[in-house]
Amino acid sequence: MKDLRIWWRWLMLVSFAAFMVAGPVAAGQRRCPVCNQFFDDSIEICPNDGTDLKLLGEKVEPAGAPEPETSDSAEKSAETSPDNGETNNEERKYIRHDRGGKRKRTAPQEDEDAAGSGRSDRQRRLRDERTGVAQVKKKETPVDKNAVKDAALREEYRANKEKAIQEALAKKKTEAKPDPELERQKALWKQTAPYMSIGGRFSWMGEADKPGLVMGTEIDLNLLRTNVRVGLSSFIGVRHVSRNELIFLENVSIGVQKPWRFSPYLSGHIGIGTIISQRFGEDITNLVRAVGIDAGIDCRLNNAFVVTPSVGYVRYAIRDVAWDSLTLKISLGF
Amino acid sequence: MCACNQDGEDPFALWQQYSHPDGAFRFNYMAPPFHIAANSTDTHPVMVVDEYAAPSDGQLAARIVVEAWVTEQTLGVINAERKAFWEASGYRVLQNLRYVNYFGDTGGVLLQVEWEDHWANEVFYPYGEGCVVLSAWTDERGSRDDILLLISSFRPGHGGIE
Repeated sequence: MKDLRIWWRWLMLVSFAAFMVAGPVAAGQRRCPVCNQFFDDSIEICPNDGTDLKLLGEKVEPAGAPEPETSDSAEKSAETSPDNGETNNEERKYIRHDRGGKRKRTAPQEDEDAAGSGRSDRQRRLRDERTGVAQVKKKETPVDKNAVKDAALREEYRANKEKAIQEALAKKKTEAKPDPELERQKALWKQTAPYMSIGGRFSWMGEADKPGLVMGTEIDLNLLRTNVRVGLSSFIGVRHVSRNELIFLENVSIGVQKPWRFSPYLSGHIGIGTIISQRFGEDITNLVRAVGIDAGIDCRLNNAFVVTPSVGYVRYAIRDVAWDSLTLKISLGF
Repeated sequence: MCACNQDGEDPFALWQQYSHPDGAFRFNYMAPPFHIAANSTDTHPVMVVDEYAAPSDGQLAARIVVEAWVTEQTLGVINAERKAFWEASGYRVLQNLRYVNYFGDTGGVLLQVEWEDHWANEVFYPYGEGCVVLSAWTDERGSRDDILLLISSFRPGHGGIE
């Protein structure tokens, strides 16, 4: 009875062992090449390491097929294979290290050469398999803390950089804010001749040994102040001869100028007026005509004032009598 | 601009010129204010300014009177005669001396007399056998410069002393 129990126990143990070995085979399983654990065919992803079992899992050979060798048996086989060559086929010479093999040559070089392209194919497949596994592992890594931290750092760096750029732009904008004085000066350079000016004009209408200085005030009105300059002017003055004579002139002027803060101009003018002289105790009025040319520069002092010196030639005429004279003028424009 | 043929530097450029019909003398005057008096003739022109309605002081009928004529008397005789005339009228002689006109004609004599504001200037130039005379009179002081300028334009003949 006692023996029967012992035999029964052994039977159970053997049965269990047989079940453990044959079970997976019967159920159809795959072995994860990474963790070497068996999983059912229905499991496609290794829950341990995320390996795609459908793609990379090793199909367990059906019953009767030679079982995968353990490392010891592999070593044993490797050691014995070259000599006997009976128990192992050519494929068994290459045992993957991740399946318990060791990284060492399992066959002499001459044998490997003899294996030919078959070995190369196996090597390529193994390399591809490893590469694929590594890619899948990398792809399937659920959460990489370093990557998250790295991303956060990148985001922070990007934000800081954006902030720095914005600050630099703001600073540049602040620095580029126009200086009112500079702008005022620039505006001055863009201005041109004054709209109105008042000044003194000097010319000569001699008589005998008297120079006959004609001096007076002239008011100019520049109606057009572009490159073309058109204006009106009124002159009232005195001619100094034996006794003073009054002279009035109304002029029209037209000329060209370079509109600028310092506007040089060249203009011709023609005018008509009267000269009133006292002779023999009575006022004698004569019609006087004037034609001339002036060259000057409008020098703008500020927004309000322009100083204009000019020099020119003028010809006065009364009836058929004429006076040719140099003329000088200095005026203040507004 | 115009057919201007006269230089404005000429003090008589705006004046008119009177020439004796025979060319015995010529002088410049300004018209206006001068105009020919009613008693004027071609050989004895009389120019006046501000002719009075009634003769002033019983002598002349205008504020300024200018007249010129030719006489057969010599320079010395006419000078003495005119000097006596003015002195007889109450004037005193200011100057009686050789005179050169504006154009540089020499040989003339100036007689200048005055009474109160009345002021007379006479110039004598020998002409032919006789003389040519220009007399200018005024009763005011304000026109004296202009009168001196007028008498300086008096020239015997057409080209100087004949």
